[in-house]
Amino acid sequence: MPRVMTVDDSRAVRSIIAKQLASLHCEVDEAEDGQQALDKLQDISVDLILLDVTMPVMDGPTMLAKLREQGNHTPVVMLTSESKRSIVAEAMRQGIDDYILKPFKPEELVDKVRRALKLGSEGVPAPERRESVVSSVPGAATASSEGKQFIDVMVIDDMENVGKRVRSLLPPHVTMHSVTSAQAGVAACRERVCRVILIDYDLPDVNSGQLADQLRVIEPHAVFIALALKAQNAKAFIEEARGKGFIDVLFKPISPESVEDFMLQYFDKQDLLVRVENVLTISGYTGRADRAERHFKRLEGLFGAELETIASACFEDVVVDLSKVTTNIDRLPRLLAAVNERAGDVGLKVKLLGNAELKKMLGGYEETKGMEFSADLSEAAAAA
Amino acid sequence: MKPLPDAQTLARLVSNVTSTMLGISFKPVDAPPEMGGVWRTALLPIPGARPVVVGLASEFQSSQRLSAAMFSCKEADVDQPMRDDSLRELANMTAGLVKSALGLDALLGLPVIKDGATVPQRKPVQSVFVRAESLGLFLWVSEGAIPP
Repeated sequence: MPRVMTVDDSRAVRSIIAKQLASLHCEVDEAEDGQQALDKLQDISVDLILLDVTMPVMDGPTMLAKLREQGNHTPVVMLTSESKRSIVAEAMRQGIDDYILKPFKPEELVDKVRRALKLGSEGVPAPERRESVVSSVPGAATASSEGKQFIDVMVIDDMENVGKRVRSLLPPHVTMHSVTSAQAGVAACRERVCRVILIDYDLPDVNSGQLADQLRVIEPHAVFIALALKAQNAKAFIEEARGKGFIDVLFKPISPESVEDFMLQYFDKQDLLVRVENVLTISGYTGRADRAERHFKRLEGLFGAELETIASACFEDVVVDLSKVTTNIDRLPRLLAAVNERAGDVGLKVKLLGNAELKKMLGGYEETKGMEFSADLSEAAAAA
Repeated sequence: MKPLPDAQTLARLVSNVTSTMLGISFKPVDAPPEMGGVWRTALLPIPGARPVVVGLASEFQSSQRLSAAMFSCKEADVDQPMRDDSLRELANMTAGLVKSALGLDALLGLPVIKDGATVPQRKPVQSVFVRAESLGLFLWVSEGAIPP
């Protein structure tokens, strides 16, 4: 019998979950907060944890981080009323299997638990592992034959070419669906869960603001962006669009730069440079080679604030985790030299973290050959 | 900056929560001239650059029935902590949708329960009374922090 722990400060939610999991013949353990869950997990082992985000005493993300620190890799499905991208992105980084946005339909919960536990439709183990809903690539989406399809970007524009243009500029791992009418957009949103919805501001015979309001009821956690021809007074136009419920405007003709900015704003920002205490993890760069310089400049800009935060917390050193960096090695030493200089300005010593191959390569560059290098985090900590 | 959701939108948001979780849909109605019964309100702060408070209030009978639906139990088995817990969770889920509608980037705060169903006097504030047969809920959203 699968054993599931539900961690939620609401007794009502725990009750709803327990009732639904009874149909899967699961044994259910309950905890009111992250600390209580960690305490219970010292004594018992479960097959799945259903974890709320906002809780008193210890919240979900903190508990998840501590769980992983302890080497506990029990699958976790996060339940949250939070659509804040950084929460989900950080949880993905910590290795959640899936997440469910509240309010949720009972059948959605059962479906996701069944999938996470690799159970068949009758609650017995399925013969083969089914694909996790959350891809290992942040922001990517996968299809579920039983539930709604998760996609990153929905485009609603009566000009078919707009969808094609956006698709051609998005990285391959970002999933997209395109329709050419408001009606088709509503229908598509009923079948899918979208992260970002781009709506033509001048759809024929349609008030785009009202369409966004209508879709927001179906897609309460999506970000709505207007697609519009470049206006003479872009700032005023953006304000007008915001008044209609759009978060931002993507101007036509759509340029690679604007899509790149869009990606950074809505998909990549949280993952470009992730800080946990004094460890800064640099994301791998998957974009076009001719855009790498822009990417690294942005990355360099993000380091300043993070280094100051680490210095303010009285750490003596900063660990720069390069384990995800796979390309553009020629640009990396310059970035690290700049980071080293800025770290020195705020009294921090830089330690690099990466594999032997990377160490050898960086050792061949003037900018990085003298920098301290460790193969894993425990080695870096021991050297402190 | 987006204005606070109007009454119709607020009604849709709270009904979205109850219909998804409990299969109960609410419709906006004119607020009764006198709010009879014993009311409790779950107040949930959304801090950040633009602080907002979401208040969800319910009188005793409605609380009793909604809690029984949430806990899948008889109304007679519902007690005060269960009523407060249900109201807090409904407020939490509604606030998540309000936050999305406003495009706010702050984390949701923890809900607190207070007696009564008083809408803050300060502006701006938006409120709506919603009904589903004999059930009634009162939802409001205001700019600022939780009133003292």
